[in-house]
Parts: sequence; structure tokens; C-alpha cells
Amino acid sequence: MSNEHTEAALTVQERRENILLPIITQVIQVLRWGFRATAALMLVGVAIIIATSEQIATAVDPLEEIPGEIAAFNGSGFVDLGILVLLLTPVFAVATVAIGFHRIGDRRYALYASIVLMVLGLSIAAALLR
Amino acid sequence: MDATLTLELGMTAALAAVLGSMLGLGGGVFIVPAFTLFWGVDEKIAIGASAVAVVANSVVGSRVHLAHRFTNLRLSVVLQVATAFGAFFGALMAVNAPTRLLNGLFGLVLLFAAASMLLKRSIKIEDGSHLPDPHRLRATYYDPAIASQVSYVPQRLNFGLAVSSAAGVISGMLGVGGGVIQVPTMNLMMRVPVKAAAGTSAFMVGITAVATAFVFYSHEKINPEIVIPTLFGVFVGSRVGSRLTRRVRAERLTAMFVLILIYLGLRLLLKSLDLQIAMPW
Repeated sequence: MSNEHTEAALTVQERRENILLPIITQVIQVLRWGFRATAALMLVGVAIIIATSEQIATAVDPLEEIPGEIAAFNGSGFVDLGILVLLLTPVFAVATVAIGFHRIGDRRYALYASIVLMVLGLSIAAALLR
Repeated sequence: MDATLTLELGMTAALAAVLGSMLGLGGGVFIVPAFTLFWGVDEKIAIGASAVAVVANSVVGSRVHLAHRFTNLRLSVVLQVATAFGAFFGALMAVNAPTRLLNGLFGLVLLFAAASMLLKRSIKIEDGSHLPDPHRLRATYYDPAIASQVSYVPQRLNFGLAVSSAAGVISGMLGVGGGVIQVPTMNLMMRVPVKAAAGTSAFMVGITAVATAFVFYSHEKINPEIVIPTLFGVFVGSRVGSRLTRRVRAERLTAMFVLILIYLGLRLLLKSLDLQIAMPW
């Protein structure tokens, strides 16, 4: 393989890496904000639990009960929401990857990311239908 | 649950995260056996807590790997198809599986982890800029350790997909990240440099654990009483572990950690066989 070919390959590679840069940046943002939201909700929840001597639940509440728990200012509601936000963060990251690949016209990898989303959707559906 | 047990679980999770972080295994490998063997936590509750902790570790850790471009996004997405399916079905099996089976399987995984650490080796990947790339998986990153760009093309994708499915099933059943299987497979079999393998795996394990965690959530196996101290312990422990990794030569500690893994693995195997043998602790 001549140097010309190697350089040509690297140039293509560099172009491809630059195309991926916005996707990577967006995924990092999703992960960062997901973590911050989780940490904030968990800290608020634990602070309320300690302040009110509330009994912590032994299972995360079903999704439809969480808004009521938060409205009632129960610490467990904030903790439950924190856990759910944490679990949904990688799902949003995969969605960001799927949209990103779709935007750059990479249909094949957009499809793979969509299949991963579908599997995660099955898992979430199982949780919601409990 | 009393405050003492909460504190003990938090400290155990922190210690597990320190060990996991230093060894690159993730805390789940230690959390589940320690919680079940020492604190009497139900196996499935421990697995649920571990899965949540693995997601947290991945959300925090993979940001760094992504920023350094160690994560191969295309490779992670294609392997994740197999891993996510495996984890979903693994988790469905786990919530209905007898505890003895889970203990036995976990014991075997710990012994595998011990063996892979004993035989730990990574291969130097040759420059991949000239290799054919039919799946467009080629990636490049800057490695500060050698002060140069590293370009590689993952090989044997079908083999990687097969192993990823198996890793997914094990992750789904046991609540561990699966990095203990994924990283050596990517490095040794798929010719992915070890930093890229670790970065890609760090992103993948969080997604895998989500598939697991929601199944456990649907079966009421995510217990906030256990998850809260676990998460706080893991956050503290992984930070301490990553700092210690820079100061302490991990190779010196390998023998001790291998002994811990063998000890926990054997305890779980014996428990799965309902055998009780006097142990020092």
C-alpha cells in the first residue's frame, strides 16, 4: 500500500470522524444533563426523607403514582423519579445517536440504533405494564 | 431498614466500586456477591441495585471516553443490537429463575473474571489505516501515552456479535455490566485497541443495564432502600478508585483481587449447591 493510498484513507477517515463529532458532543450533553438531573432529584428526595423521617418504599412506585408522590412532596417520589431519569438517560443517548446518524445520511447505523431503541422500548413497556 | 445496614451497604458499594474501578471490571461484579453473602440482601434485589449502579457508572464514565474519542460509536451501536436483545431475555429469565441457578452462574462468572485477570494481557494493534473496512467501523483517536494517533478497523464482527449476545444474557441475568467479557473480546478477537475497547464497552454497559433494570423494575425488584446507598457508595467509590488507579500500580494488587474473586466465586458456587464450608469470614 503506497503512502498516497494511506493518506487518502486517513483523509476519508478524518472526514468521517468530523461528521461524527456533533453526534458525540450531543451524546455527552445528554449524559451530563441526565446525571445532573438524577443527582438533583436524588439529593432532594433523600433530604426530604431525612427531614420528615419518611419511610423509604421497598420498590419504585409505578410510573402513574410518581407525579402524585412529588405533588405531595414525598421524598420517595423524588427518589423514584431520580432512578427513572437515570435509567432513561442511556435511552435518550441512543435516540440521540439514531437521530444523529439519520441526519448525516448514515441509514445503516441509524437503523441499528433504532433497533436498540426498540429493544429498550420493549423493556420499558414491560415496566409500564406491570 | 435500619440506618446501620444502610451505611454498611453504602460502604460495601463504595469498596466494590473502588475495586471495580481499579480493575476495570465495574462494581457489579463485587456488589451482588457482597450484598447477598454478607448482608443477606435478596439476590434479585441485589441484581436490580447493581444494574442501576452500572447505568450510573456508565453515564458518568462514558462521557470521559467519548470526549477522548475512545468510544467507537458505530461499533457500540452494532454490537449493542445483540447485547440489548441478550440482556432483555436474560433479565426475563433471571426474574423467574431459581436463586440457586443465579448463584451458581454468578460464581462461574467470578471465577472466569479471576482467570481472565490472572491471564490478563492485551495485544498491540497494528496500524489499521490500510485495512479494508466493509462495515465502515474504522476509528481514530489520539493516545497521549504514545503521543500519536491510533487508527484501527475492528475485525471478526460476526464473532463479536455472538459474544455480545452471550454477554448480554449474562448481564441481564446477573446485573453486571458485561465489560469483563466485552473488553477482552474486542481487544483480543476483534483487534480493537484496549483503550477503544474499554471506551466502547463503558458506553455499551449502561445501555445493556437499562434493558435489565426496567425488567427488574417491572417485577418490583428495584428497591430504593438498597439502591440509594448503592448509588451514593458507587459515586464515591468510583471517584476514589480512579484516583487510586493513578497512584497505585494495579498489577501489584491483582493477586489480592484475584483471591477475592475466587473466594466470592467459590462461596456462591457452594451456596448454589447448598454446601456450607467454614470460611474465615
